[in-house]
Amino acid sequence: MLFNSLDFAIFLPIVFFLFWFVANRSQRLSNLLLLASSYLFYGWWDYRFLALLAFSSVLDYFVGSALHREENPQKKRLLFLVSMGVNLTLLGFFKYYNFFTDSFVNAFAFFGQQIHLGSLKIILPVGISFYTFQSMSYAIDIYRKKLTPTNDLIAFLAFVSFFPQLVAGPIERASHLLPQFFQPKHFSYQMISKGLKIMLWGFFMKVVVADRLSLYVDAVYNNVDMHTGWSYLVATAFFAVQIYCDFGGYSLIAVGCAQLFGFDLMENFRRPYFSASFREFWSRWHISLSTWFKDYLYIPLGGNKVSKPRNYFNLFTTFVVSGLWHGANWTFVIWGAVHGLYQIVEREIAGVRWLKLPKPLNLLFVFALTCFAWVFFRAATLHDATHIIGTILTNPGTSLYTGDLGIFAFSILGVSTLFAVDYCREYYPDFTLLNHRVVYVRFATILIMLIYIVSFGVFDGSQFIYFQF
Amino acid sequence: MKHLGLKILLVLGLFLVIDQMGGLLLDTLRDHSPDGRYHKAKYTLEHCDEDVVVIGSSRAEINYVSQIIEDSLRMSCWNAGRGGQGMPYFRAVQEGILARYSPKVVILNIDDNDLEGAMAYEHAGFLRPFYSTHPEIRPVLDKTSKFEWLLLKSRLYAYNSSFYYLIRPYLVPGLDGKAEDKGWKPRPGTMDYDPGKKPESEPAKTPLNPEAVAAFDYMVNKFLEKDCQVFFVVSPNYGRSIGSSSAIEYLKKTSEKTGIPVFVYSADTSYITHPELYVDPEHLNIDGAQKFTRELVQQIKPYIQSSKQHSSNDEKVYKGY
Repeated sequence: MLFNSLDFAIFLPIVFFLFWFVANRSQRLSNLLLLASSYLFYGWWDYRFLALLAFSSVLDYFVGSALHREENPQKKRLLFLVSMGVNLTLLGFFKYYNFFTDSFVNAFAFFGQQIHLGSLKIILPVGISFYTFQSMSYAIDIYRKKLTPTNDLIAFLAFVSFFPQLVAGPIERASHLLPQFFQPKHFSYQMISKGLKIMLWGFFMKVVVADRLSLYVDAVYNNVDMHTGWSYLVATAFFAVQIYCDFGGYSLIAVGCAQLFGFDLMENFRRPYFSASFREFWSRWHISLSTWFKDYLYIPLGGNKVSKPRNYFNLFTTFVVSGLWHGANWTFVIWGAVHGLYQIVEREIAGVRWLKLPKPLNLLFVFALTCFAWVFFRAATLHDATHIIGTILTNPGTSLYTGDLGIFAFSILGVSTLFAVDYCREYYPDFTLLNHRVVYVRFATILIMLIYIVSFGVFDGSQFIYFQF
Repeated sequence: MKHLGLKILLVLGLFLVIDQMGGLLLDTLRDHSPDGRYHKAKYTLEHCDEDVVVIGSSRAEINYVSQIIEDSLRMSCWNAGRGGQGMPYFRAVQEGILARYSPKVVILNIDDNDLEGAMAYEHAGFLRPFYSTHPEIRPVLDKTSKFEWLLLKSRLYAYNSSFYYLIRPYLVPGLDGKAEDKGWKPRPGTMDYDPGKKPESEPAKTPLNPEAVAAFDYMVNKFLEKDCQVFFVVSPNYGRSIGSSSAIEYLKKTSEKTGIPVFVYSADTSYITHPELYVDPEHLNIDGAQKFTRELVQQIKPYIQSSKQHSSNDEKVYKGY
């Protein structure tokens, strides 16, 4: 079920009503309702994969309990490896099987050897990367003795499958989200109102900005060879905003939706294009994933408590794996590697005074290099990516493809509105129209946003980009 | 909870009022448009009564000069082609026209891949502003999304994303064709790239889309039931020689069954190797459109000689709209 569908518009009020007026009398009933709703939400897309979700969750629940009870370090380690092995095997099979077999075949072909490994038509279960990581973090934290396992299976299953963040995050840690399934929920007008406003802005980012920009970006990126360097440049800048609004908007809808049930989810995006360094960018972009990789990969590798070369290796590895997490394609791996290199170079030149730029130039510089990396992320193949970058750098041309002028004009309008709002939030955080102290201003803002969304939103049921991850 | 419910109701109530008032304003803009896309759609659905109607996508809209058809056949002509459209739009236009009258001649411009790709229902969403007043087009628009019928209760949604093209004719008249062009959208200029390109060889055939074929069959049969004389035409592309595709073969098969003439220009070397006739590889420029229409009309003429002789309504021939 997509958030920007009428199915969800019907589903959400029903669950909301049942939660507050029927199930909220008992904690267990509330969790049961959330679990049933979440499985319905997920099964709406393809009920066959519910078994996979349930299997992954149940496995980590029992492994978590066993890890806690087990005193023998070797047995404990074995249990831990079983959990990690099964989770990563499922993820690897559904997401990476064809990628690895194709890469294997291509590598042999490069050396003149022809081998045949059949590729399978595998459907990628929506959100598998998200719920697998969330479930894995539970087992890891118990293994590290940072978390005590729950003995409430229903609450745990509801935690893994919690529908607002099930298919595209934020990737929550058990230590933050799981206890909320045991806290009594009290209906509060302020809480619900806040949740609805967060959702409203999320929908704006998604349907007005991201989906609108995607029409232009797709027209350019899906027809490589047919455009000038200027068109690629504009399409890439648009894509940078598109993916921010697509994923940031989705995350906001998830955060707002969770608020409607009294749950607090972590902030996932904090105006990432106002970053003056790549380190700052990654503290603002997909925060739940960045911190996941930091805690469960970068630090276990040694983090920065090692020699400089080893630290750079750790950084680079973390970003390459992060790239692979985003998609089973070499383009994503390169995207991750480019960001790894950015981090390393940035640390190397951190002390060079003459390289310090004024802040606005710094913002532009970081944005431009981020866009360079986005080319790899968005292009269908490495060949397309290099062609696009080559054309931008060597043959910008004189004309700009605008496609449908209406779409182009609405894209500019959407981006401008987004920039104005993000600018105010960044530099004038007290200035907020949605939460203005004057009730008429608040009402007018909500109405204008509703009218804006209905009038300029794209409602063709387009998928969230991050569903594929 | 009561407080929340009241506020939500208040916001929704105010939104509905603004939505309906905004819809009235947008309806007025649409109805008084001097030319352009909405003017054309309105005329097609509500006013056209010409003898000859051209239906198709941008290649119909740009390649067929209504005035040449009128002058040559001495029958009035309206070009109802619309850029970016496919079978769903053609069906909606057919329903809109046949709800009022039956044209004597219908020229269906079918692209070489029109019956092969997915049905682009969402493109036909261009007609959403007419949903509430034209029940005959609703079955087509209802297929654009599962809850389209519900969403279209909102008047602002009906005009979603249309504002640029709604306002443009007031600011820059004639960009989508002037009113006196009778639906034709002339494209001046000449293609400025790849002039020496040789025609590509025949592309591999892709399978027909059964849904598109069913819609096409229904459309053809309905025109024939209404005693319209139908012609199938495949326009030329620059640099691509397509004498046969799944769609073209299906047109020929239908022609054998129904006797409808088919004119395939997509492999005609007097077009596909002449960049000076094109504004881009898909569309003819003004010179190209005039040459194409003149030649097409000469081919069509013998088929409609008898019906032209029976027509005594000559005053309609040069009527504007």
